[in-house]
Amino acid sequence: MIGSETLIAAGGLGAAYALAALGFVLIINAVGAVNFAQGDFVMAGGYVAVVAASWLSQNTDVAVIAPGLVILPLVLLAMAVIGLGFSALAYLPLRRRPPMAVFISTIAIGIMLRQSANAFFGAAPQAGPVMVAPGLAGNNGHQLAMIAAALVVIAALHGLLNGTQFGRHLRASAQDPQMAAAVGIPVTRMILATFALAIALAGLAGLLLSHQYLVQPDDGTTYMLKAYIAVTLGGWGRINGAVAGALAIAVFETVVATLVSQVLAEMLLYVLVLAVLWVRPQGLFGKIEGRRA
Amino acid sequence: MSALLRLENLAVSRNGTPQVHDLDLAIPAGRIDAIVGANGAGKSELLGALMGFDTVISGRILFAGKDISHLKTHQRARLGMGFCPEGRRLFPAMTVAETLATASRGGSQHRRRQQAEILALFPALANRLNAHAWHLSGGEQQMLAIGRALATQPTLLILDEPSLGLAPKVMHEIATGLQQLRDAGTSILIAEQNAHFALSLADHAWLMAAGKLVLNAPADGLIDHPEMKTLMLGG
Amino acid sequence: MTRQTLIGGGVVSALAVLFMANAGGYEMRLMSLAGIYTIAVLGYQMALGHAGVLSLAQGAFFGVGAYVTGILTTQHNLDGAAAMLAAMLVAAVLAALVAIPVLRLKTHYFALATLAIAEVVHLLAVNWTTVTGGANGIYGVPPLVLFSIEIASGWPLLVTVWSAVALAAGLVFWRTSGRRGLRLDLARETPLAADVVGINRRRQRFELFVLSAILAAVAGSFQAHAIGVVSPAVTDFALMVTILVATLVGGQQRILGAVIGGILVIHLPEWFRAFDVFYLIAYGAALLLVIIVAPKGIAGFWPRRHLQETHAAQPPPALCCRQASLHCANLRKHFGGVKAVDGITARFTTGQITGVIGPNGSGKSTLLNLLTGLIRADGGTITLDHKEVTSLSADTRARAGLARAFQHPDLVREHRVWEAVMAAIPLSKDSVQAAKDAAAACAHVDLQGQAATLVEHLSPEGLRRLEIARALATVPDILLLDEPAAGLTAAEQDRLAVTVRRLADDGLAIIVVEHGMRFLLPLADTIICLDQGQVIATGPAAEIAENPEVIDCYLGRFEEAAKEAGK
Repeated sequence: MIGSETLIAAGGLGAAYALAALGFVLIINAVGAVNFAQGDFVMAGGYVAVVAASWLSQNTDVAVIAPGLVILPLVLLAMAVIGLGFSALAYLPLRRRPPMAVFISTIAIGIMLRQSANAFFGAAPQAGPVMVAPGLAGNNGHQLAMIAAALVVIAALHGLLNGTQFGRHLRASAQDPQMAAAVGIPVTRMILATFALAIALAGLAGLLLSHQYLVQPDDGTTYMLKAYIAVTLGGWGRINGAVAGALAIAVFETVVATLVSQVLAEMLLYVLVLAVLWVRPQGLFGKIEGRRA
Repeated sequence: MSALLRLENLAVSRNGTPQVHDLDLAIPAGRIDAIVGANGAGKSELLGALMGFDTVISGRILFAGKDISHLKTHQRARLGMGFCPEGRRLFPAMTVAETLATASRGGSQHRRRQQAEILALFPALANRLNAHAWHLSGGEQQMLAIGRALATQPTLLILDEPSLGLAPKVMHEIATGLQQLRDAGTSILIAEQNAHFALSLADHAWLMAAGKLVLNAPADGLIDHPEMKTLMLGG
Repeated sequence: MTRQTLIGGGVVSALAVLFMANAGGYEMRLMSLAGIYTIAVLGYQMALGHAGVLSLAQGAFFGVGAYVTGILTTQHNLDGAAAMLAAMLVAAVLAALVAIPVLRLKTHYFALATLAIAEVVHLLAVNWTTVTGGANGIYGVPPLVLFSIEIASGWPLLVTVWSAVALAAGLVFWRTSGRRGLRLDLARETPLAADVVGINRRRQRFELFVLSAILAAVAGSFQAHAIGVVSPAVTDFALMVTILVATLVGGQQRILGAVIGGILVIHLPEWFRAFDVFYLIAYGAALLLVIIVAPKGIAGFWPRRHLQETHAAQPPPALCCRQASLHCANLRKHFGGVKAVDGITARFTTGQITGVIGPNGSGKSTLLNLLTGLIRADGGTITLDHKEVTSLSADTRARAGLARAFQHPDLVREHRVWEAVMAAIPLSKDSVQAAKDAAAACAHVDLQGQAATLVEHLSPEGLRRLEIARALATVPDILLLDEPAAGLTAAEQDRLAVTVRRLADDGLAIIVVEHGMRFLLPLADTIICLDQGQVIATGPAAEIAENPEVIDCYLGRFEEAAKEAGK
């Protein structure tokens, strides 16, 4: 039956999906291209978390009561730096080419990430740090901490995008790069910053997922698909829509998996996406706004 | 004499097609200058070259004595060129207040002061501060587009077809606003197809046809110039 | 056959013989796999390179081919050839079913939809254990049997696979070269231009997508026989990535590219083996490098083949236009609150040049788009030769005799002038007639002698003339020109006016949307002046030029309003 346990599990999963989808949608808005490596960056964030947690446990004497939360800023920072490198490789050389070229370059980066993980960590699944030690907050402590961490970060992102000059410049650059430049915004720098932000969010999703769902080099495709679907359902390019889409997917998946099976949950999800695209080719909540090309 | 904006032998192309040929022009500070010509005369491409959108094939653009031909768009904006494009091109998912804040440089106090100044110039925007760009009427959109350019504190405000699609009454409000700006010390350059509007607003006019300037004279009385009619009818 | 082709063929055959004489079983196996991937890549080129759709289901169709073969040969004792046919059929049906909802989607949604299909196939392969054998897959797939000869691995398989490559390449060549190829270029690169010359893009995409699935299934079927095992790995996304990489590295459109891609993608891992576990990283890096430095893939370094001019008409033969008329009544189109076209009624007939003028935003372009069918009217009717066409698509109207030239020339840059014109000629015409039509079209706009010039090397005037030539190549009765004189010098405008007049005298009904009256006044028989989506004046050119309302709308309205507001 569907109990509160299931719903909390769905919330934790949804929180992680939402972060991955947010990064995904930020890049879509900034460069008009799908980041096919978004899922692989989730995976990479998981490995960063694994490494950071093991370093922490080896080099500190104090028993850490919330290892996941402690290394959270570290993961964000490391992944932001990786995101900058990513944009330098996959976006900057191609910025005068059609979005399809960037789409494919992100596929290439995804392959490199996956194979690097395979080479360095091996194919066996590894467990990341727990968010808070079990003794601290009961059985659901870890999942509740996941949800809380995601909520805080999403709220912070909302504040950043809507409440700061930097955030407004980021949005302006995504909405009309030429006009953004015409009011003095350095658009290329804003796009690089978007990549850093998007990859940091993916990394955080990886950290959140790494304990309960483990980390494997091949995880990327599934996470990318979830982000892709969340953004499609939520309306292409809509930030709030991406969060809603991610939550919907997580609830659907968890509930069907609990009632029937994991496989059916996945299969139904894909069939559902096809059905949605069939009935509404512009996405579920997508509405055509008066946006100029 | 040092002109605020000086174009020397400027040739411009858009999408590989040359649109402006060997053009020389000098504009002093403190004036409203209008470039008037029929559709396809090359006005839009000329302004595009000023902002770095269209390709300069040859020649130079001097702004306040500095060669800006090779600067990026955002650098030109920071030197004091404010741009209000044809079709307005507002940030679609931003409110009026957000749009003005985005274009503004400086702290929050400075932003508030600037917003107040712009609202004083275009009072119609005051009630719409939290409305999104696409909910505004055509006139309000145009005012916001001008306001966005003003928020960058330009020494030269450049407007491409500001009258397009507007009712005459709204045009009048905009013309009044622009004249106030000029009186307050902002130089203005507009490109217009609506000769009546442009000439009643400007101090000086440059007539353009087939990518070249054919005449420049004080705007007063120019509407009755014999060349005016043939020119505007696409001559 | 050129000498180059013969020499090239000779070299390849010699290398093949050399290879067969010296290769061991391992190399033969690798080359067989390379051939199998070449077939899959040839198919993928159809979707990605020729139709321009980013399908991510090619791997799934490969997997379907492999599974159908594996299941039928092991569980139903079907022979290999029959199983391969069945595999092709299943893939074709699946692709056709999928194509209906999916092919109309925009790039990113299309990619997602095909990916979702691929995931469903993969999940089925892993979990439908009773049929697919689950994670273990299907063992003991027998070798292929053709005409009751068993194709053993080693050189028999190698020869069979590469013969199939040759067949597939022949099929691809037939579908994508010559005039067919030009029409694919047009539909992919300049979809609007494809619509107005009468190309049915939906059918074209459908055909290519189904064909791509069939070739993927053939490859999958071969692989099942070659390896003897079908496991869920054949439906894994990694396989899709392999095909994608091979296609991008080799080249998206050229047959040579498919061969290069197929061979490289199988052999690279072997060559990179020295890198140990890092070879796959290098593989990703190689893909990235290719996208950045060689967007057309390795085959892109070879020059493109061009269709040769085969006929030259000089002077131009008379056009054979029928008596035709285009009529619109009370036509309306609103964009949000803007009434772009607000109740326009007009008639255009044979031999007449009708000018449509008006200031910016008066509705000229919208009217043209409504007449050609690029946008649909909100109200009113459009009648072509007494037949209502209001709800017909642009390509259907084009086939009924309506042609159009765009204001900003919408041409494929890599085409030559001759090819750009040939692309517009329906395939129902034989090559002799097509060449005649193309030559006549070029001659009508004085482009003869420039047939071999690349579009990207044409002058602005040449581009404008080529736009008109392409429209004429469809042998239209009615020709719509969108601002043909914009951006041209006075001398160029005068020359163009002579050309347009001559076409009308030959019997075309011509509609010219123009802004400048200098060009239009001497040229047009009748002029319609629009303002704010409505007709404000109609009449002979001389009258219109003196009409105070027309002059008023061109010079702009302001002063009275300003005075009023000032009071």
